[in-house]
Amino acid sequence: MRSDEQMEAIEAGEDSAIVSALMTGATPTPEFRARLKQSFLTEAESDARRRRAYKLSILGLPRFYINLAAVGAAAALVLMAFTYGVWFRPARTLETAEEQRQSVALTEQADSGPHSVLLGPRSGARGFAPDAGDTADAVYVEYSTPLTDEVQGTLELIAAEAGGAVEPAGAGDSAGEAQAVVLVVPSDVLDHVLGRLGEAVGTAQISKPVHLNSERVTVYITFSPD
Amino acid sequence: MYSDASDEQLIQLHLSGDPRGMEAIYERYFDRIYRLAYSKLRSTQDAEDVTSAIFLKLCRSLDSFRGEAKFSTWIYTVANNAVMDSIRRRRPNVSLDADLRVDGGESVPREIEDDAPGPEDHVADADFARYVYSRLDALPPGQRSVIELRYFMELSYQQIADQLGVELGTVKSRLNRAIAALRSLVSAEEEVKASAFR
Repeated sequence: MRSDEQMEAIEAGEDSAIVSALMTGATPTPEFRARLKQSFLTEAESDARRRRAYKLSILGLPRFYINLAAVGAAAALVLMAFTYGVWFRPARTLETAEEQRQSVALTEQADSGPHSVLLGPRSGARGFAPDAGDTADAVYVEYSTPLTDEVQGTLELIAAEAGGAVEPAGAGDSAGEAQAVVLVVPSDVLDHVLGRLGEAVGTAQISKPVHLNSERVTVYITFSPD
Repeated sequence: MYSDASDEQLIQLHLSGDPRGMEAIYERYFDRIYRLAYSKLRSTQDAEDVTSAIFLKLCRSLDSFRGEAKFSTWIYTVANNAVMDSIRRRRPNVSLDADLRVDGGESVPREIEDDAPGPEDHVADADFARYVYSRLDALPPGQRSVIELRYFMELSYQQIADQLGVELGTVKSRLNRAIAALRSLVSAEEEVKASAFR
């Protein structure tokens, strides 16, 4: 193999005329050189400016991804506009305690089993109750003696001592019917109230929940003289 | 200012948004591209058109330059493609070897006018150069490629070997044979012309 020096010697020897013709034979005119140079440099400046702008695009991300994100956002907005009713369905309004009780009552009625319990106001229902403060536990006290004025006064006194009150029961006005008195007292004094009832009125059949969930307890006292 | 920087450094400079290196690229490659275009087109106007198109598209074409090859070999490929496109566009559909049809349906042999200067025109160097260029078409493609890369694109032997994917020795032997072939072509023409005057 010939070395580079040998090759150059050959190129510079007898073949130098041909080599020289090849290297210098086609010479562009100076006017064309200058004209194209000016156009080329203008084009290069424009291209460099475009590349700078591309580099300085948002967060340095390629323009393609920025455009893609913009198109995606626009598409999402259009989609949301068409599905407004799904994404922005009006929230259910908060039910009042009364509405909830009615709803539960209707459900239980629908069950209509012989042992189903109709949960009404102050039913003493236990368990999870977001509005437990709005529902009073209930205690049932049954006397087999009649309700006399003296007993009525005693009950009012006990209720007053406990920080509660006697509320009208609205039933049993006529003779021979069971008469009822309702006391509403704080839960923490329920045992004291029941004890006072036993001392002042007499022994009764008491039915009360194991656990109290409400701040106030409704004590239903019925007098049913046999 | 950037005359000492390599081609790849100048291109990176441009890709980063600084166009100042492109002037050096132009000065380095303008003559090379023009020579390559002229050697294939052998028309000053066509060579200028193709050279303009190559340079004006060069900056935007740089996105396809991935730096895997040297810039000199990349631009050689780009230029070659542009020249071949130009040849395809201007080439007539009728073969130059086909006979001409004249009125009446007779065919007469086509006389092809050869614009290339003959040996008698060797008085001027420029004419001799154009004559040598005109003989390039007679070379096999492998030898012609070596001539183009060596004398038009001014690549080193090693760069030519890398570009063509051949051994260094193959490049040198092809170049030797190519020059020898050109020399013999020129000599033969001169002898033919000289004998005509005897």
